[in-house]
Amino acid sequence: MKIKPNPQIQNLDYINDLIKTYSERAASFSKLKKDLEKQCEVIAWSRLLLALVSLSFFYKILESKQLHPWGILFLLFFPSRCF
Amino acid sequence: MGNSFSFIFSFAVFLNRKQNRKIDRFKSLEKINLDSMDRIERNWNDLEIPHSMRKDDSPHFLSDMNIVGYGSLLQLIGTLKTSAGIEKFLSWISQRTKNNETLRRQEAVKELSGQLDLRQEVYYLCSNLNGEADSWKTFFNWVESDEVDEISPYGYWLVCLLTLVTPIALVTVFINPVYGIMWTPLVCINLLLSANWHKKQKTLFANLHGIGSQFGKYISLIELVLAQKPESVYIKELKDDLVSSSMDAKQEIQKLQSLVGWAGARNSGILYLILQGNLLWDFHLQKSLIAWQKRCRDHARKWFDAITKYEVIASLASLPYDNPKWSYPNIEEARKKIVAKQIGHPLINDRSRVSNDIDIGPNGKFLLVTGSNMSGKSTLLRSIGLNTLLARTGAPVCAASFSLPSLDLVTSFKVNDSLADGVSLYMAELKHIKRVIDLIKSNHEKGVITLYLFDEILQGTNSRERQITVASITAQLLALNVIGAISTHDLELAKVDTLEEACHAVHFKEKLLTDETGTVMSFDYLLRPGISNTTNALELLKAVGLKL
Repeated sequence: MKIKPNPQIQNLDYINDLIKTYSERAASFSKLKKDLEKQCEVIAWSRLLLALVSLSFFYKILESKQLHPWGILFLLFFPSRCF
Repeated sequence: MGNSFSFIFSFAVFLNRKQNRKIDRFKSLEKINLDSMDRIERNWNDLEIPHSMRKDDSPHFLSDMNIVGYGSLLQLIGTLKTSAGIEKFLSWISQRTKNNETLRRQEAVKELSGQLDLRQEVYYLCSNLNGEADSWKTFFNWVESDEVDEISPYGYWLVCLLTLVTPIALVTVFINPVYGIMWTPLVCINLLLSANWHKKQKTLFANLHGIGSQFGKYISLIELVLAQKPESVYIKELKDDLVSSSMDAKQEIQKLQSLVGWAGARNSGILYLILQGNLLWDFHLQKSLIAWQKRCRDHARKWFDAITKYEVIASLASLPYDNPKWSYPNIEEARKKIVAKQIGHPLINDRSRVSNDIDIGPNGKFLLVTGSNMSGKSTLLRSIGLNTLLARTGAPVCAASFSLPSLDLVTSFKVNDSLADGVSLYMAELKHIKRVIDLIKSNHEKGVITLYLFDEILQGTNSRERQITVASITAQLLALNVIGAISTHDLELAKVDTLEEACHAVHFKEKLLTDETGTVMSFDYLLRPGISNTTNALELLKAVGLKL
């Protein structure tokens, strides 16, 4: 003997509509997230480039022994800000 | 040139952080929408189980009615994220509320149900609030305390004087190092003073430990609530709680957030020593924190409570939106019966749910539900219980219409034997029923109607004695101010002389069909009048492959 405990699954339009609404919203947020992630990638590379350029300048100033106090601060915080 | 590049670099860092925060927001909102789809389909495996602390004095129905845990009402609501929000929801569901309060909540739930964007923003902000309940308890104990370790007015004058003189002395050291003779003793005095007050100040700052980072998120939530123009009285009152004529919750929490930020210097090692040695940093923070505490003593709990209530209302508002066929219950104090049309189990998917009409009461009558195994007796009782509990929170119920009196609920579904207490299943059940009857009697004395739901009670003894015991308990209940439903396999119960008049019998039935694969046992879960005339225990025995 077989047991068939559940009644037949009904296809309900209002449930399908709700699922569609949420699915579209999830997709739109996912798209916004991906677009921003791309932008962030560009910003991250720019950060790295700027950091390298800034470092090279400060290295030159260090060599000339004319380091400004702001430069010291920058060098102190640089490692944590860079990554 | 180097400075210019470092400025642009810092701007890029700022921009990057801002973008990262936006990415986190979109990620959360995407998840909220995906979770909503799972909730509609009741895909419990894909949904997070909200953490809830079960207290010893929690009503038994929290587990009987699947309010907490896997596949529970709390998982269906799902958008409740803060521990305070979950506690608030459980307190609403556990306590009988005045009808007026329920109607006010209903109105608020209706208002927020249509505002999907607003609700999802609330869910997102609340999902970032992860302060431990104990940390909040410590915070409120401190805020509401009358005893604070305050520095005396003369003492604070001395602190201010030292704060003024020490930095001046420090400046003079740069002019001529000989002046160090003035600065060094001042720093020593400051550090000695700090050591003397260190313990008290540490205790003060510990009151904000674990929740300091939460204030910023609460400010965002307050801004969101204040930006709305509510129509319902309940939400208007919550908004008023956040802005009174004398106190502005947003401003005050912003001030506290700043103080917590300044107090962060305590963790910065050498910098902290420099600040403390020259400016007596902690003394000024202590003064400001105590001033905040005195100012906000009578308001802080109200502010955070208003936000918690808003979170619960916004979460309950997901139910009518996700379940458009549900209706708002009609609760009337003077009503004596529960009457429901097309009532169903809220935790079953709409696509497979079967609904029934029920009628329970008045006092002196009870609903007797009979039927074979797996036919739907327990599910019917849980449908009644869960919808009754939903009704008292102000949420809609899973029924076409649902009218009920304002009542208390007691249940007996899952009772386990206990090795630790040395009691058998039968004894454990008896003890539980004794507690239930005591509660009903207490309600009876107060004039409160109680709804009892008993599912297959007293399974731990033989059928003859069970029938006598159940009949005796039911007869006792009928004399009290109660309405209720009992499900049982004891088909003879309805024929007991004392109960025959009082019971309104209904039953579920299985069908045996034959198709090309053989005999199939199926259930339609439709309620029929009268006592069940079929049994299926022996057929099920064969179905699972055991010999008769």
